[in-house]
Amino acid sequence: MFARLTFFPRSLVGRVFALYTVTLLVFVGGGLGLFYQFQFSGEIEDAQNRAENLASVIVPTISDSAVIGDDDTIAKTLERAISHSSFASVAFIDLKGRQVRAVRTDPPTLQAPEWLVDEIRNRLFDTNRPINAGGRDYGVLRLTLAPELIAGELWRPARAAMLLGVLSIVLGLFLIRWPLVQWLGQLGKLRTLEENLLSGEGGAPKPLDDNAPIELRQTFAALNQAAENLQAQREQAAVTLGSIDDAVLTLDAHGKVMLANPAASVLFDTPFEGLLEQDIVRLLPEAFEGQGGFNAWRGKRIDLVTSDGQKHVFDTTLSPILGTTGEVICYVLACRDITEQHILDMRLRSELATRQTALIALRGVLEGLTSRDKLSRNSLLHKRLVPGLQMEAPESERSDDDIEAISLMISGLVSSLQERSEQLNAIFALSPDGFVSFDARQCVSYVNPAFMQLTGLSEADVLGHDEGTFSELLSSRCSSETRAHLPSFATMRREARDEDDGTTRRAVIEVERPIHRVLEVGLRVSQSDVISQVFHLRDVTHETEVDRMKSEFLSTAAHELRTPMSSIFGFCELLLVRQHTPERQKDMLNTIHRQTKRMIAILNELLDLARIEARRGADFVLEAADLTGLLRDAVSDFRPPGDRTAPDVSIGVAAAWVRIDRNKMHQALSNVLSNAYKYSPDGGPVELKLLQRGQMGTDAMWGIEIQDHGMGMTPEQVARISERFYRADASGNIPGTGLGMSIVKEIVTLLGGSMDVRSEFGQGTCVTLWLPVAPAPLASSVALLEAVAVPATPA
Amino acid sequence: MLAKSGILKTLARVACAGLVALSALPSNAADEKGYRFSPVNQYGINLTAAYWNPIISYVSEKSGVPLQLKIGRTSADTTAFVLAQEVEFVFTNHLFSPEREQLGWKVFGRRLTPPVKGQIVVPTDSTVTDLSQLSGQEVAFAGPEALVAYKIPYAQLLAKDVKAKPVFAGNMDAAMAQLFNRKVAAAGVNSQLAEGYAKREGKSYRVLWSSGPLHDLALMNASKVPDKDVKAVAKAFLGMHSDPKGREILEKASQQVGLTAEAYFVPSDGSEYTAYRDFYRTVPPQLR
Repeated sequence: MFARLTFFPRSLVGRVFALYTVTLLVFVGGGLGLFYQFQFSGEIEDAQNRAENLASVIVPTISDSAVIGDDDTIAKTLERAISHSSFASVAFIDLKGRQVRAVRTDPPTLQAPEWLVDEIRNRLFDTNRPINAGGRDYGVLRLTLAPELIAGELWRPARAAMLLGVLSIVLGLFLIRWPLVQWLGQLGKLRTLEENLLSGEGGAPKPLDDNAPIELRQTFAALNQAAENLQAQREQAAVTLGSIDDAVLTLDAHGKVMLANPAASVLFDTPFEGLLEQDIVRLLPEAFEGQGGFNAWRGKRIDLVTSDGQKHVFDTTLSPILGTTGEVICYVLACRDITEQHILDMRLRSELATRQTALIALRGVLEGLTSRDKLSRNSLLHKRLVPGLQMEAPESERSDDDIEAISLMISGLVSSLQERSEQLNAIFALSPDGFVSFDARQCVSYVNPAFMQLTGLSEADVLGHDEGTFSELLSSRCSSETRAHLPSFATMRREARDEDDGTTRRAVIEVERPIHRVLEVGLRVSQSDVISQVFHLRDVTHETEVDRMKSEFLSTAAHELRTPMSSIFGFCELLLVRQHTPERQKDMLNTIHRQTKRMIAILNELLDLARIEARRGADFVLEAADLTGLLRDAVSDFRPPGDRTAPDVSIGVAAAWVRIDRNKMHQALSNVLSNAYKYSPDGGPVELKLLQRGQMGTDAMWGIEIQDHGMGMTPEQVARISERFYRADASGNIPGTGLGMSIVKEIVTLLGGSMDVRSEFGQGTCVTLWLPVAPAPLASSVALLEAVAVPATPA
Repeated sequence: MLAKSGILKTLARVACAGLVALSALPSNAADEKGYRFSPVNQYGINLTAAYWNPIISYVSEKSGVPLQLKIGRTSADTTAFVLAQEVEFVFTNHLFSPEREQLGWKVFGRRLTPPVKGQIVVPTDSTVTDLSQLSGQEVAFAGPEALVAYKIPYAQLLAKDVKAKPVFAGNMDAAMAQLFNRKVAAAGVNSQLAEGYAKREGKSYRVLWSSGPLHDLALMNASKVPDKDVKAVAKAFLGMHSDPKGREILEKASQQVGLTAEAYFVPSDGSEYTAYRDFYRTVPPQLR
């Protein structure tokens, strides 16, 4: 806005002075105006009030005079009233229009301007008072104020006030002008500062005196500080340029040298003064080859032969310095001698080329390795197991960088080897068979956990030992009977070589520590250069025990069958070779029949047991059955021997649902009841109870408890009660095959239950058959509910 | 010197400009030809001029009889103008005394407004509740010539033997201003003017005493005015509310002084002012 006001002062002093002048004029003028307005209004009001007061004073006299028609008195009264007043005229006007009038003729002492007189005239009113007496009007008293007199009285103080105002303004302007010039005029010292900075002398202007305003002094102090900092930086730059090895030249816009540091003088072998005003294109033509002008560049390398005749390589940078409007003021050319760095670069490139060749060769080797069947198979397997996993980058994505490719391949190899190693470790760690590998020197190089578990030998015990020591360690763990069965390694290797499949003959040893085990040992000879042979152990304790039990069973079964068969054979021979009485013959035939019956019973139970074991319950007809009914049926069907009473049955529940094969369960109950009576030959009650244990819905079981009060068993006998052909009665007076309880246990086990036997020798035996609780069938539940509901129905 | 004189003159003119603008004075009618119309200054000079100037302009234009507005500084000035024979038309109720009726002024119309009453009022929160309490107190009136606003209420004070000190403010608005500035204890008012003032200034007052209803002021002419001019002027005044332009002027003017929009001029032969004439027959001598 100020820029458009051409008459507006340009200097700060001028502007402040102008602002002060305007402010002074406005305030003085405003003050005068307000003062005069107050005077004006007050004088007008006073004049009107004077007229009212005067009218009030003279109205009675005028009225009295009007009533009696004394015009002389009226005239005199009016003359006295107007004397030394501000009225122009005072008149009495009667009802006929006749006037008695007094007019003031003396001129005003001070002639006011006409406009002021007009203004006052427009503001003044005549004061009229009807002259009334006794309700009758006699005329009007009119007082007319003299605007010239009032204006003159107003004009006098106004003139003095205006004169005083003008004097105040003039004096005020003079008083402000001097300090303004004294204080703000010191800003001109900034020009000195600029000149000093441009000349490089760096001298700051003298500080302002103490009378200068604080703001100016602070500003000059800040500027002086900035100038000193600038000078210090300039000196630092000069020292820096002088100390660095890089040649730095400042060029003007046409390429003439303006400044150069000592390194530049050395580079061009010319003193500083000799470089000034030189054309840089002539001094350094190699840098400007192929350039039409001075285009900025960075990192251009040029070769120069210096004055000493040696070839040097320089890294050069040309940077333009732009002015405030963007034009190039000058250039800075920096030249750095990088000859040594250049030589190192060349050497490094050569080494890199050599290394590249080596890497290419290594890559070829690794590519050959990674393409082998084994790795490919592992990779394929890995890809199948982990879809989407990329073992090797496809050809299209393969990096050109050999190092990266090699790293990828090595990573793949390591990964594959690690994977394979983990697989082997897992196999050996989880294998139940023990393995011991021997290195090429036939010393132990690896043992797996199973070996240590089977033999009780630790890794530290055997690692690094040769075959002989290893054999001794293993032999020390064998029982004395089987120690001789451990073949020597030489024997095992010879047998392995003789066999087509490389296996050795089966040799079995028994170790006593840490527990008794039967171990099968063997040796495999390897064709590998790393592993010469692998010694392995296999725990065959269970198989050996089964073999023993089978043999024992066959022996027992044959013995059990041979006893009746011998009896049958003997009686048949007697009947053939000798004549007997009919009674004797009949007695003998009865014996043959009884023995035959016993054989059939043994064979039937053997067949039952064999079938149950072979089918493992597959032929069971499982159904939901109520144990209460089954127990009642079994007791009802059972015929106690001799005259003994039937079992005491105690059930206590309405229903006990289990899921069973009715026939098999019936058979099991019959066997247990039969044993209870047989093994209590001296009598005594047999009690049958239905028990329950566990929580419904989880592990609830129904138990069928059969208690006798017979001969009972020792704990050792109880432990063997389910063995086949085992009989607690060694006397043979109690008939039986020794297979009944084995069948009971098999049946109950296959139905998901268990058998619990508690016995006390001489006191009796209690056998409990536990069966899992089964949910009641829907129909049965409804029936049960109906059965419960019936008693509640009123008769 | 000339320049200096010019600057001083300009400064003085600037100082006076505000005052000049505030005083919308009537033009100097005395220098121009035509009849002079002087209404009683009921609302103060400015407001009275604002009310009457557009009406007089309309009547002059409509009747073809030029009228010049002549407003006195006080209500007594109109009577003075009448007595000095300086006006030909007036709007007043000061001329119904038996003596002044002999001056020959005739009523040709009146302003139709709700009836006016002479009242003695106090501010709503004043402690004065009875006229007797005004004894010895100053009571403001518009002027000694005001019939409704001075003579009637003051006559009531005299009748009640309440010796109050009358203070003449010059016009009704000035008297109300003195009342609400607590310079006086009560004011004798024209009910119509007091209501207009209260409406305009947002004041409230309480009426201590009120006269019977009276007609608003009358339009009167001097006997020296020719009949045709009287009739032309009367026709313009009385038909003003029937003319859309005149009605608009009336409504705007009435709105400025607090009158209702229905305040317009109706014919009258003066017979409606019997109450005024009766008052003069019974008024104490000092109020005649």
